[in-house]
Amino acid sequence: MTFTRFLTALAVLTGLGLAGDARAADEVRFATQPIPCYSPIFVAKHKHWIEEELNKVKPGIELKWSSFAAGPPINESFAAGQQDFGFLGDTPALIAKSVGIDTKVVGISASGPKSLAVVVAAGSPLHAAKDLKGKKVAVTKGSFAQHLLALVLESGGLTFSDIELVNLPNADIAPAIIAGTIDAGAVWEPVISRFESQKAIQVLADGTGLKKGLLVIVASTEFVKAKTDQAKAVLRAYARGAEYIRTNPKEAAALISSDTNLAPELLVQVFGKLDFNPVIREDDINELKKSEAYSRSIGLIKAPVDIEPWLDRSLIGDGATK
Amino acid sequence: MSETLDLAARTGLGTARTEGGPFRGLPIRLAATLRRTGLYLALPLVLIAIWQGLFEAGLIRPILLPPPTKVAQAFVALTLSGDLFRHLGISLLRVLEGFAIAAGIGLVLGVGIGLSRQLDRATDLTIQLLKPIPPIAWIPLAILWFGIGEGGKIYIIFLGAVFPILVNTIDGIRQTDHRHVELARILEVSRARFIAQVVLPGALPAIMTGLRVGLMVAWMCVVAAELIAASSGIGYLIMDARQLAQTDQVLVGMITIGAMGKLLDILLKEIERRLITWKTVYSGL
Amino acid sequence: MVAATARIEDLRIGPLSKTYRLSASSVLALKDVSLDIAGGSFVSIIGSSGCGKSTLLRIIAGLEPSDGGPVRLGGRTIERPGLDRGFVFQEHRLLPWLTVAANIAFGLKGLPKDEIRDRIEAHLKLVGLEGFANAYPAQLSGGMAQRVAIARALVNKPEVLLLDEPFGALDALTRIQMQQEILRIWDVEQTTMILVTHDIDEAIFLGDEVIVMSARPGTIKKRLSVNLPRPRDRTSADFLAFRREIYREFFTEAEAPFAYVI
Repeated sequence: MTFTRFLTALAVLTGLGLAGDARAADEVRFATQPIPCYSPIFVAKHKHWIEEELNKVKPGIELKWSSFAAGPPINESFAAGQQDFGFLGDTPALIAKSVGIDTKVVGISASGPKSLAVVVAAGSPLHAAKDLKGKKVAVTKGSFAQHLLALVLESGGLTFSDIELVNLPNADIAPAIIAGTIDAGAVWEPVISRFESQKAIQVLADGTGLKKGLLVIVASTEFVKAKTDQAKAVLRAYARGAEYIRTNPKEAAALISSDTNLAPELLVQVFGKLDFNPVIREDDINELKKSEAYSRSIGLIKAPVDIEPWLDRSLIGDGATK
Repeated sequence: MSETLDLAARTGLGTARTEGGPFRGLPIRLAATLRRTGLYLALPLVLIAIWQGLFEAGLIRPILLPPPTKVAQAFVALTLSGDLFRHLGISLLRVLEGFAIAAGIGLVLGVGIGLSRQLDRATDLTIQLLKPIPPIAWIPLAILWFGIGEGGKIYIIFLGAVFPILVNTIDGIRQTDHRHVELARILEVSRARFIAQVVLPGALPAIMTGLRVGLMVAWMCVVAAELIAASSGIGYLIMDARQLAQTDQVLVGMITIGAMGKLLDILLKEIERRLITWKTVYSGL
Repeated sequence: MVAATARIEDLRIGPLSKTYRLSASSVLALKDVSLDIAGGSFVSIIGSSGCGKSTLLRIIAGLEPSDGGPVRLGGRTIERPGLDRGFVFQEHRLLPWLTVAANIAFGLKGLPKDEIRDRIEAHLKLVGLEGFANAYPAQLSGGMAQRVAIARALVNKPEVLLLDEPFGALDALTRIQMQQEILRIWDVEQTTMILVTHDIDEAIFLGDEVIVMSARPGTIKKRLSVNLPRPRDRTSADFLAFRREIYREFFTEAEAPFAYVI
C-alpha cells in the first residue's frame, strides 16, 4: 500500500518537474544584466511602476526577475521558454534570432556611443587605433563590443589579423589590462567608468562616429501575441523609468546603485552617456542592419536576420516620451 | 543457441556454420563476434534512432536539441575545415602537459609519503584541505598567477589529475603485502632493494589505477581550463558555439570529448596490461 | 654441491616466555620453554593450533622478541632476523613479478655477478628445478614454488633453516614428495633444521627428535628421540610405535581435549 503511494508521489513530482518551465498562472518573467545600460527597468522595479501599469490591464500579476552575467545565457533561457522579457546587446539578440529563438525587438533599452569603448592602461603609450597593431586586444566574442573593435581597427587601417585577439568576459578585461597581461580591450559600462575613476584605464576610442551602441528590449513572440496589453504596460513602465532618470538623475542613481554595481556618483556620470528612450527610431533600425551585416560577415550568425519583421514597434507607441 | 555460439567461438570450432538466426550461413566464430559487437553498439544506436525520431515527430525543438543529422553535418563541416582536429590536438597537448606534471609530482610525492610516516604527517592536513577544492574554483587564482597564457590552463589540468595519482600511489605503497615485508626482514634486504623490488612493483596496480583516473580527470578538466581566455581547444570550441547559440556544434564538441576520453583510457589500459603481465595469471600466494 | 665450511653451532633456547597483549586481555603464548638443539640435527616440533609452536619458531628467527629469555646460537645472542637463520613460510611468498632466479637472488647482496649466477644455478639444482630460472611464480605448481622458497632460504648458506608448516598448503601426495626432498637437501646442506608441523607422520618421518608441545600456555610436553635409520618406512612397526606414543600425548590431555586433524 505504501509502495503504491510512494510511486504515485514520485510520478506526480516527476510530472511537475518535467512541466518545469511552465509559467505560473499570471507572471511576467524578466531576464536582466546588472549593468547601467538597463537602468530604467531597475528604476521601474524599485518604484513599482511595472506592477502599477500591469494592474491597469489585469490585477494580481506577479513579476519574476533573473539576473544573468551576459547575453548568451539569456538566449539559452529564452530558448528554454523561461523568459518573457530580456535586456541585452544587439549582437547577442541577433544571434538568438538567427538560430531560431522566437523573439521580437519591442524597444531600445539604451543607446550611447560613449557607453562602449576600446580602452588601454592609464598612461599607456597607445593613443590611436593604428597603435593597436601587433598588440594583445581582448573582447567578449559575440558581444556588440566586438563590432566596435572591428570599426576602431578599421579606422586605423587594421583588421583582426593585425592584432592578437583574446576572448575574455567583460568583467575580466580591465583587471587583465591593469595586470599587464593584455594591452587593450573593448568593453562597455560599467567597466569604463569604474576603472577610469580609479585612474587605472583610459579610453583610446569609443563609439562616437562609429557605433551607436544599441542595447535592445526583446520579448518572446508568444508573449507579445497572447498578452499584448501586458507587453505594452511593461514598456510604459520602462518609459516612465527612463523619464525619471532624465529628470531626477541623482535620486535614480541612489535608488538603483546596487542593481547596476556602480557607485551613485559614477552612475550619474554614466547616465549622461546613455539615451534611455525606448522608441525604435529610423537610425536605430539602420544600426541594427549594420550590426546584422557585420555579424554575418564574420560568421557570428549563419542564417540572415530580416530586421524589419523582427521588430514590433506597435507596443512602444503608447506613452513613449520625446 | 547463444551459448552454443559463444562456446563454439571460444573453442574455435571455426569450420562449422550457424544454422539459424540473423547470421545463418556464417562461420560460428564470426557470427559470435558479430553478435557481441552488435550488443556493444546496440544501445547507442537505439538512442540515436529515438533521438532522430523525436525530432521528426516535432516533439523537440531543434534549438534545444538538434537532431542527429544536424549534429552529423556540423561534425563533417568541422572535420573538413580541419578545425575539429586542430582544436582537439591543442587540447590534447594541454592535457598531456598537465598530466605529465601531475604524474611526476604525484608519483614522487606519493612514494615519499607512502614510505615515510613523518612526511605523511607533515603533508596530510594540507593535502586533505586542498583535495576537495574543484579545479574550476581555482580559475580566478590561476588567472592572477599565470595570466591568460597556457600556464593557467595547464595548472588547472594539473590540479585535476594530481590528487587521484597522489592518493592512489600512497595507498598502493601502504598496501604493500606485510608477508613480503616480513620476508624482506628475514633476508636482511637493504631498504633500497626493498623499495625497488617489493614496494614499488606491489604498488604498481594501484599506481596504474591512479594514473588512469588522473588522465580521465585531466581530460574532463580541459573544458574548465579553457574557460580561461582560451582561443583554441575543444573546450573553447564548445564555449564559442554556446555564445553563438550553435547547439549542434556544442554537441559535436561534447561527443568528441567523450570519444577522446575513451581512447585515452583504452591506451592506458593497454599500457597497464603490458606492465603488469604477472598479474593476469597471478592466482595467489 | 654445497659443503658445510664451518662447524654448525648448537642452538640454546630459553628458558623463555611470551605473552601477547590483546585489546582487553593478554594471552600467555609460551611459558618457560627451554630447548637445546644440536647443530646439524633435524628437529620436528609438533602441536595443535595455538600451542605456540609457530611463535617459538618466529622468536628463533628473530621476527618477534621473547619477554626476556635468551636464544643463543653458538656464542651469540639472537635478537633480530639474520642471514645465519633461513626461514620457509607456509606460503611460498615468492615475489610474483620476479623470475625464479631473481626470487632466489632476492636475499643475496654484495656478491659479484658470477658468484650470484653460480649460486642460483647450484641451488636450483639442489631443489630439483634446473632449467626453471626464467619461469615466473605464476607458472609454477605449489610444490615447485615451495622448492624455490627453500632454495631462496638456503642461498645465503644459513646455519639454521626454520620451516613453519612448509608443506601445509600442498596436497597430500606432493607433501610426501616434498618430505623426501627436504631430507635430501638436508643431507647435502647439513644445516640445522627446525620444522614446525601439525602432521604426526611428517614429524616422525623427518626429525631426529620430535618435540611435542601443549597448548595454552605453550610448553614442551615431551621430547622424543627418533632413532630409526633413514630412509624411514612409514608402515614399519617401529614407526607405528612412535606414532602411537605421540597420539597418546594428545589424547590423554584431559584438561584441553580437542579434535586432532591431520
